[in-house]
Amino acid sequence: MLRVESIETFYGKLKVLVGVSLELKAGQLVAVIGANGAGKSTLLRTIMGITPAEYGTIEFLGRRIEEEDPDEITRLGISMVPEGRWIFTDLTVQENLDMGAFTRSDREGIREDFERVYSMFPALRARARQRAGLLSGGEQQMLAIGRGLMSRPKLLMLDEPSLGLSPILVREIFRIIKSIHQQGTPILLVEQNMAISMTIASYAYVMETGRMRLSGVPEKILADEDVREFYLGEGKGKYVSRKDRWKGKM
Amino acid sequence: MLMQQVVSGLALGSVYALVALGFIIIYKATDVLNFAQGDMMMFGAYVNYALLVSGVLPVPLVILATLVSGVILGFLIERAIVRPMLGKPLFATVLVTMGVGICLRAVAGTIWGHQYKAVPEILSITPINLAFGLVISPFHLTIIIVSLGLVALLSLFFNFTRLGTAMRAVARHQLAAFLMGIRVRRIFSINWMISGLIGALGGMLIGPLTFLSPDLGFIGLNAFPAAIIGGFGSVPGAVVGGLILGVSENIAGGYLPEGVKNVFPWTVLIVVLMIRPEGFFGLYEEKKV
Repeated sequence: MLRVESIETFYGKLKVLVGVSLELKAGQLVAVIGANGAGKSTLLRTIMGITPAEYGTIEFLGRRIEEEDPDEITRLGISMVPEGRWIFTDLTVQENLDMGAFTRSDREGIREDFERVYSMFPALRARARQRAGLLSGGEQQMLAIGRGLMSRPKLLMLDEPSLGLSPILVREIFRIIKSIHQQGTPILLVEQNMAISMTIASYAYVMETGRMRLSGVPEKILADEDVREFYLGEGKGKYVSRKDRWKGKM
Repeated sequence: MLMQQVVSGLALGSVYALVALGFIIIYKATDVLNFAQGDMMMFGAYVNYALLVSGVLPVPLVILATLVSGVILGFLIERAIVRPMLGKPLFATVLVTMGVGICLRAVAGTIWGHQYKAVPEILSITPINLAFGLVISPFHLTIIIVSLGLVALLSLFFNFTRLGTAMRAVARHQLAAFLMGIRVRRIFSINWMISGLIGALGGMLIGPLTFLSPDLGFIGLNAFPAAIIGGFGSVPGAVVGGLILGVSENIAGGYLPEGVKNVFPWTVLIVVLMIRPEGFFGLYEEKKV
């Protein structure tokens, strides 16, 4: 349903995405893994039209979207939960969710979805009438995800949902992401946390310095020696000594 | 005498509050300080004057037509001049609004001339007695009720309607608002139209308080310190700021040497900012990008 074809995105003269391609089929949860600065967030921002691609094509549900504005892309059915959450801090929790449903006008359905989000995140129900700025980091992440669901997206894109959360909260959030996927929403997940992402992904890409380095099903990714060494801290330098790699000796 | 100054100061102050709200509505959503706000008010006052003098329309329709003209003016300024500046440095946009103000002044001067004009009175100025021997004219009373009424209406609109909430969302985090599918440019346009409406209403109310001239816009600029004193951001702040300025300016006019009245709003501004730099209702809020 989403096909990204060799896109290149620049920040000024700096090329951040170098011929990146990606495909997400209906019903999949695709994870894009990479370190800080690999270009993962830029990839999502480019799909959303926030930092438009200079070259390449993006196709969503058979329609070219690389020239569209973010508000139009949202209306086409992609919902992005950005890194840093971007919640509306001086609106209440309830108002934030309502803004997530801004493109819809079916009051009955919106009410059902409030209920759905609140039962998914009970912590939010208790704070429905409070200003969202008063929420804790974990609750803000929950609110951001809940708000992203309120538009009933055809594709949900999550940018680093684990960022800044405690390990317990990370597990909780990933459990919920998994259940959202199982309930039928395709997800494009961008993460640094390789280990936990591989437990829920149906397909994965590894990104390095603006390029797709590796792709495949999680089993294949996890079997890769480099991935084991660099992302999971296993391998103990058997494959190639870390020191030598830094010195450029392969 | 003092209380009398206070009462008529409240009338002036509530017009300031109204125009201050016009500043704030545009600033909060778009980060643009609209220096044409005072001139939009002046223009509304002239449209009102012209329609009244021509006598082709009955008074209620004159009021309606003036308000509509304000909305159209706001819409046109945004669409034709401010929107093409999107993505350009903010400073440039702010200067452009100054230019718009000067143009409006020139246009008004060309059409209606530069000599002072008196607006025909719609409302009686025969004072009515309030308690404690205070008197207020129905005209002053109307100004207070209408301006504060509109402020209250707008405040309800922002807090209790979906569109109003979306406008607050845009003000808080523009990019996130895009991600909600909110058509941000359309919201900008609505902001300008509301400010235009406010300007026209302010002009209608302030016209009869003073004489009409193309320089009326400078009085509208006094709403600027009102907005800052109130903390530049909140509706109650604008009201309190406007009323403080209106009353203190009037008292200064009554008791201090001539000329002090005109600079008094700015003096109050300096004093308030020395004591409370964030204004009365201002929060040190980080505006995230």
